Formats: sequence, structure tokens, C-alpha cells
Amino acid sequence: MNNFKKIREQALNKITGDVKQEKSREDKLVIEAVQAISELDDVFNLIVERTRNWYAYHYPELEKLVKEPSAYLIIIKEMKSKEAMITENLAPFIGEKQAKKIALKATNSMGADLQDKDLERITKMAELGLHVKQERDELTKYVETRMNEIAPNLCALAGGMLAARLIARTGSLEKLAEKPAGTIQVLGAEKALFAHLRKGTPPPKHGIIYHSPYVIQSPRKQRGKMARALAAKLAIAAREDFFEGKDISALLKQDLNKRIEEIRKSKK
Amino acid sequence: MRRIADNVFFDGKNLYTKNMVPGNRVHGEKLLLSKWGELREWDPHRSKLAAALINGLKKFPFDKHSKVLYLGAAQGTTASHLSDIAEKGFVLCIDISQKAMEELVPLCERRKNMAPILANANRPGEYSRYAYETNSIYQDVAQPNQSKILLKNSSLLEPGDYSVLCIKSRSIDSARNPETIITEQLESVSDGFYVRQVVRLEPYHKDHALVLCEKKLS
Repeated sequence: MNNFKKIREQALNKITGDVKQEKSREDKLVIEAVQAISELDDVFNLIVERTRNWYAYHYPELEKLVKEPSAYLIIIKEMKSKEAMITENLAPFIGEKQAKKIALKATNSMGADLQDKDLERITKMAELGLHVKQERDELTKYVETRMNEIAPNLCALAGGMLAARLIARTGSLEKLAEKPAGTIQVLGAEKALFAHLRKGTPPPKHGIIYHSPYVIQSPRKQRGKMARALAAKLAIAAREDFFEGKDISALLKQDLNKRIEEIRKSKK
Repeated sequence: MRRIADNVFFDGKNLYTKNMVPGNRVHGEKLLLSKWGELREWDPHRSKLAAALINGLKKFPFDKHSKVLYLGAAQGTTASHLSDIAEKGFVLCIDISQKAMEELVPLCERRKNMAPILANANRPGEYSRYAYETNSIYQDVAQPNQSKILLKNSSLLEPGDYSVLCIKSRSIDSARNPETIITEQLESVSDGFYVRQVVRLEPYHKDHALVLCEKKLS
């Protein structure tokens, strides 16, 4: 028991340092940021949907005229009411041609004339949405610069955002570096993978690496091969980034491009 | 209410352990005053050891002198009950997650016979210098090589010492039949241990089994 008292003291002293060391791992911060981005996306979509519904009481035709969500929010924020929507006011935000259309429809809209205090609330909602969008874009930039510092090789092949998503999926750069290429290829397609293992449905060809231009811009028939080639190089890149930290991206890119040319030339 | 092991009590429906830190709750469990002192409810839905006791574990391997090496302590729910039981021994808690430590460390600071260690149970060398006195192992880790981990740690035990292994069949292979997985794990464990009893933990924990093993003479 006396021995244990000493052991316990040592363990409690050591643990603070151990946890602190774990917490100061930079990839964990990027993972939080990646998750924040996808949550902000959800929030932004919710706000846009609500604003569209809400503003439709005042100017329902605008919903069809401006499809792009942030353009829609900017117009509401800047114009506030449809009475302010004349071509000269609108043009700086949406272009001459669109502005004319919007201004024309605004004069004989079937929307109600709302009180200022009603419009005020809707405008505030639109502003909130734009703030969310702005923070989301800044976060994306942050993730990309941070990822370039943490995993330059991964970034060169996959781009900062995709590299960060891969790390977030596995939990850490260390864990990603321990994964075989075949696993990296189908990260994010777990549902299809396990359906394949259980029921023998066709196996997934790609998980989140689908979003890489190498894969998504290839013809459908070649995407599986592209995903396989890319995943193989990503696995090497992750190991290099975690264990060595040297920049071998030029070499990896060269190899990958060679393989991609082969795939493109092959008939199927 | 009757006593079924050192500091463990059963009232026909719920299990309790004698609270080492009276008045203190670990996860919002019920506290009860009795002639033995303050008792803490031991929830079989949260703790596999409690579920095994209710499902008919014949020999309870821990007593008040137990010196337990706890692999996979997590937030320390079961570990806290073991610390209640082993009032004259200790519980050495190993876990790999720094997130779990946020809860486990304050718990260990309150309980004089618990100590936290951030380490990987796959590498006993990293913590064996703390664990040289242990005489039993409780293992509940979510790793595919669960039985191997127990074997790696078995050098910390003497022949005849008991260890408890929770087999989480879903962590080993989510696609295959749990029964086959459990049989395989038992075979692999029997390299270093006699398997004394296997208790299935349904309905409290799905696809889990708790295994009582005794270390072989090597």
C-alpha cells in the first residue's frame, strides 16, 4: 500500500504532462476546424432556407430570380425592402441585366407590404447568414494553410481540404499514416464497404477521395482506377509527412501523373 | 440486502458497492444508506462486470486486497466500483484516450487507491514499472487484437492469478458472427490462461462476453 502511494503520486504527476502533449498535437486542431466547417455549412443552409421562406411574404418572385444563396442574402441585406430595388441600387451586387429583371418584377410583385420592424428582423437573419458564410470561408483558408504546414505531401496530392477531411475521418495524421492504401481509398464509404463484406453487394470504388479532381473529373468508368492510384500515393504521402517530414511531393506527383496517363490511354 | 463479495451487495434486483468517498457520485448513480455504510448503485448497463455478476458469474475474482491492472479504463465507471471493492489494494487505470483522462484524472485524485496512466495497452513496457505489484487484470478495450493484448500483459501476473477479459465481438469484426469470434478469442487466450467461465452479457451489452481466466503455469 505504501508502494502504491508513491506510484499513484508519480502517475498523477506524469499524467498532466502526457495529456498536455496529446493536446498540443496540431492535427487535432485542424480536425476540429474541418468539423466546424461542415456544421457551418448546415447552419448556412438552414438560415438561407428560413430567409427565403420569410422574405417571400414581401417579395416572393425574388426566390426564383436569384438562385445563388449568398447573392440572395446580400440583396436582402443591402436593399431591405423591395421599394429600394431599382436598377441602379441593385446593379453593383448582381450585374446590370439581372438588376433590371429584379427591379421590374419588384414594381408589380404580389408580395405584401411589410412594416419596417418586420423587414428589420428578416434583414438581420440575412446578415447572420452572411457572417456564417464569411467565417466558413475563412476557416477553409485556415485549414488549407495549416494543412500545408502539417502535411505538405498530402496537400500537394489531395489539396488541403481533402487532406484535412481524410485526417478527420481517421482521427489523426498518425492513424492515417498507419492505414493501407486500400483503406484510404474507401474512407467515408464505410456503409457501402460493410454492405459489401456482409451481403456481397458491389464494393465501393471511392470514399471521400471522390472529391479529388483526379477522380471526379475522370470518366465514370475510370474513376475506380483513378481512386486506387491516388490512394496508393496518398498512403505514401501520409507516411512521409508523419514519420519523415521531407517534401517528396514532386516525385509522388510525377509517378501519379504517369499512372494517370496510362489509365486515360487504356480503352476502358 | 445481502453481501455477495467484499464490499459488493445485492438486494435481489440491483447491485451496490460500498462507497469509498461517501457523498460522492461518479456518474449520477443512486446512493443508499445501509448498515454497512453508504452504498453506490452498480449499473449493469454501464458496467460489464456488474452485468456478468447478474448473469451468473460463479467466482468473483476481486476482493478488498486486489491489486488490479485495469486496461481500457475510459471514464472510470467500472474502475470506480473496483476501487470501492479493493479498499486495501489498488486499481491502476490504463487508457489510450486523452479525452477519457479529462474525467478519469479528477476521479483518481478523489480516490486514494486509483492511479491514471495514459498509455497503449499493446505496449506493457511503457507502464510495467508502475504495475509490478498487480495480482489481477481487468481488460475492456475496443481493439481487434483483444486476446493478444491480454497475453502481452500476462507477464505481470503470477500463475494462479485471475484476469477478466471483456470480449467485444463487434470491435474485432463487425461482419462476422459473434459466436465464432468469441470461440476464436477463447482459443487464443488459452495459450496463457485457463478459461474458467464465459458469461454472455445480453441483454445489458449486445454481442459481448465476459471471460474469467486463470493464468497457467508457464
